[in-house]
Amino acid sequence: MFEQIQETTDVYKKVLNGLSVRQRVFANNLANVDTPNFKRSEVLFEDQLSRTISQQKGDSFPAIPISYTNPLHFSLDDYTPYIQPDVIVDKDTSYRNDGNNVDIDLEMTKLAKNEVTYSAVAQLLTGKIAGLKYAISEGGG
Amino acid sequence: MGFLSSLKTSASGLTAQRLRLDTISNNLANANTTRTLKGGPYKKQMVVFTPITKQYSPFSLAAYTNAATLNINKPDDYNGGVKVASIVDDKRQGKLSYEPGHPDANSDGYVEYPNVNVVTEMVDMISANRSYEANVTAIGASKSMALKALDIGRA
Repeated sequence: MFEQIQETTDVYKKVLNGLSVRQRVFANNLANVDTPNFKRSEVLFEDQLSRTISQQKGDSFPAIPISYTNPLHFSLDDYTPYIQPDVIVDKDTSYRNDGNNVDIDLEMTKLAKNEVTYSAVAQLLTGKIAGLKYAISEGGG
Repeated sequence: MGFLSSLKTSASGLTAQRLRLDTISNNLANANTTRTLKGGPYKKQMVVFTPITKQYSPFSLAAYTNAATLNINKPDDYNGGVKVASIVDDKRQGKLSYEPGHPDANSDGYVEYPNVNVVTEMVDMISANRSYEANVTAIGASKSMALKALDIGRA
């Protein structure tokens, strides 16, 4: 049972991590909204995350297993591998004459969405911990 | 790491836009200045923005467990905000106006006025204003996310 708790909180932790990297990248895009030849970046981690989650459930998504020689060695089968959010630079578009492709309206909207998503996930995590506390205290005060 | 670097990035954006606004105000104030200390009329000033590459301190590198995956010397790794590289003069000639009685008239009787186009400056000012507001919103979002993270697990 503890593995399940560990797994869910791990997923939450990775989501919050990815969202905070995304926040930093949006802040950078907005700070450079007037810099000539600046190309906006974005963060992609949802695909990676869903891949690692389905890896845990045993779906047939191609995964690279950790090999070990001795069965007593720790395997990584029951631990979500570390994911590094991808920061990619969107070089293909050019929105203005000065080579800058930051669309201020799009960035602000994505920023707002990111903030709300972060709050939602933080709230889910808090709810999970509150549930655990309730179970520990056996429903008492 | 975390939110503090995002606040620093947005703060650099605020500073840069404010400096840009100061330059625009200076241009507008001197839109008719025909005589400067350097000689000649006032020349419009422009700011040159450049992105800041992320600086990793040795301590944060040591603490970061996956330092090998950080692309420290990747030239596209701009993640630290914006800074003003320099403030340059626009050296184009301003408009010449025939005023033989003017004390700054040249030998032909023409006075050279600054090359400041008031309409362009006003549009730049609106743009700087909007960019400033965008950075303020980014700071608000970072701060609210950090505060929400502090609430995790609070009873």
